[in-house]
Amino acid sequence: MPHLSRILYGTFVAATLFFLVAPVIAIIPMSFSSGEFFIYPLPGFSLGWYGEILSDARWQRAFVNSLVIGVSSAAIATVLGTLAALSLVHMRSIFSRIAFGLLLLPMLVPVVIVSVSLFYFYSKLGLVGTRTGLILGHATLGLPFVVVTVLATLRNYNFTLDRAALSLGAGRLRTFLTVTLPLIAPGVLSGAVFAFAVSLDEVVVTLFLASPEHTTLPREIFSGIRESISPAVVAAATVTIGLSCCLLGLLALIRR
Amino acid sequence: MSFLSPGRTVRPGDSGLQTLIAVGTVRMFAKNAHIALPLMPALLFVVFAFLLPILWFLSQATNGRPVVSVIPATAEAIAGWDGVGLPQDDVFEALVRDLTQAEPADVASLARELNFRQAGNRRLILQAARELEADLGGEARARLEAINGAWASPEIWRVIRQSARTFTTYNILESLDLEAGPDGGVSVKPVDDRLFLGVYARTLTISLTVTVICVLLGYPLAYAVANAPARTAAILMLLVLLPFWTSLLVRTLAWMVIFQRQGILNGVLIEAGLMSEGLQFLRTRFAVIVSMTHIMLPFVVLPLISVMKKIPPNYMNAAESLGAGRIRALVSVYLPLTLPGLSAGVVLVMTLSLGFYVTPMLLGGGGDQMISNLVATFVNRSLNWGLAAALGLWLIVFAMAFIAVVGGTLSSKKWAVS
Repeated sequence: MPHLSRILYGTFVAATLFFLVAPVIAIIPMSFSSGEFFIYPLPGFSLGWYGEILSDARWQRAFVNSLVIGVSSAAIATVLGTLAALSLVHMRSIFSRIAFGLLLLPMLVPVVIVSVSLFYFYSKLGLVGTRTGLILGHATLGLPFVVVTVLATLRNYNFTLDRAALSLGAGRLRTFLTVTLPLIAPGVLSGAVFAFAVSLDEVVVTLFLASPEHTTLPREIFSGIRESISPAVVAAATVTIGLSCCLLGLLALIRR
Repeated sequence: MSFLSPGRTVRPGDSGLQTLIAVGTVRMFAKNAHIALPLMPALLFVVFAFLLPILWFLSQATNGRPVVSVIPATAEAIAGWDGVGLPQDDVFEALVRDLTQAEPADVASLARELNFRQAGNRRLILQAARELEADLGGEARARLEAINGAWASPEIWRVIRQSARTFTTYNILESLDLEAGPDGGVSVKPVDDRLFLGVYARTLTISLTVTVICVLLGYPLAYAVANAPARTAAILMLLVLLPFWTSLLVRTLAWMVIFQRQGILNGVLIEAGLMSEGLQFLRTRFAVIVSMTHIMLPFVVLPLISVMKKIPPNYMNAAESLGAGRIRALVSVYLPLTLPGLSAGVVLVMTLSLGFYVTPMLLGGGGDQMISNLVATFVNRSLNWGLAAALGLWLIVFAMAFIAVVGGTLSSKKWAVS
């Protein structure tokens, strides 16, 4: 490649990366500002906004709710998704392709349609405003990520090991628990992390289904944005960026 | 329906999909129960907690039962009216009977439903129900017309005729800015009354713009990541994954902070001497497109990287040694090889963009709201499920049509040999 075009190409790629990363990075220092406004240079350094959200009962409750709902929905999605992947990896029929498509649907249907439909459905069942309803909703959204991740792991799994265990007298359940599961554990755990991350970031379903006492971190950030964007909201957002980074790191560790 | 086993009868209520699932289930069970069994919990969960609620919601677009169930006799009688002039006496009688027999809560929901069709109908219905309760006897037509003169004009009766059907096309027509005339003919509404066509066009335009920009920015970036030395590639990959893992809401918030009048971008522009006072970025189409592009970019980059990594570099060398220029080699050798990744990315970005909700709401102005925002508005403001469902239906139709089109034109088979 000639020299000039190489420089141009490099600049273009660097600019695109800057566009991708800069906005996320740029807001983090804002949460440590001692002022009220979002402008550089910062007037001074302060942890006051973090103190504010840490001592606020609303943010505390939202944080706990996020964790509880995230863990429960990820657990449901992981169990169901792993089992489904164990079936799908052996099936080749048109039925299995339809089933796979169905399991992926929650990833593709616009989230407002999901939210409104669940709101309509739950309102007939009395599940609107309950934690159960929210957990079930988040679990459906996380399910496709588990299915895809575990299925990808199982495609590289050597099923001769299962047959060996079976021929040596282990039952199917025992074979699964002592041979298959330990070997595909990284895939299952990655799927669980994905499902947890989906729930942790989810705001629209929560917006439609959650009652005030079940608000989550993103839901609380959302109402913060609607009222007025204070550095406290940005501090909460920075906390979620930190959580996302932790999950990303966790994923890297699992996959090692 | 040859795939049905002979023992099974199809009830009229069964949808094709349910039948297919049922038949498939039975067959799989017969063959390899232990293989199919683990799939069932997830499948049942998705069908009952996700698919059926969505289908149920979408079916509200044509569901006239909320009206018919309140005024069943009227619904039956008015079906015989030709829509010209005023309906016959038996229709008036049926309505008086229905309104006096209905529970107050049902009358209220009827009034609400009919008010969606035309403002003012709520008052008309509630007033009629209230006053019919009070005075007794007399001829139905005279009583109604005495309560309100509107009952002596055909408009309200046409609305009732159109709404009081178990299967109503009203919401579908309305969602396409169409109206049914008195004779049943369908025509496009006058320009000033059109509400939705513009929103569809806007949603498609925004999504297409975002998709095109994502491809233009994402393709070179993916190429750089896929062809970088391992260590650099890992760092670049991390830079792509970090924003990808940051939640959509937080990224939208980041852009709000950047775009504020006293925000970072205006600060930089003023500092650089490009302008003396801040520009308005919030509540503009520009802000919506920039932030949506930012959110969607990884969705086109990641599939492209995984495809590009599998392309051996000597393909390009071969093309160039055979006399193709760099550009020619890129277009006719490299590009076709990356089409599976490109089409996956394009389909993802386009379908996800069509359904955007939070970002246009927070960063756009009134003129930048997309279909999802409208669906939410109809549910939140007035619980108008019928119209919300019709709009949702179009959103899904657009997404599916797009997947079909891209699947057809970007399939690698067509491009590979040329």
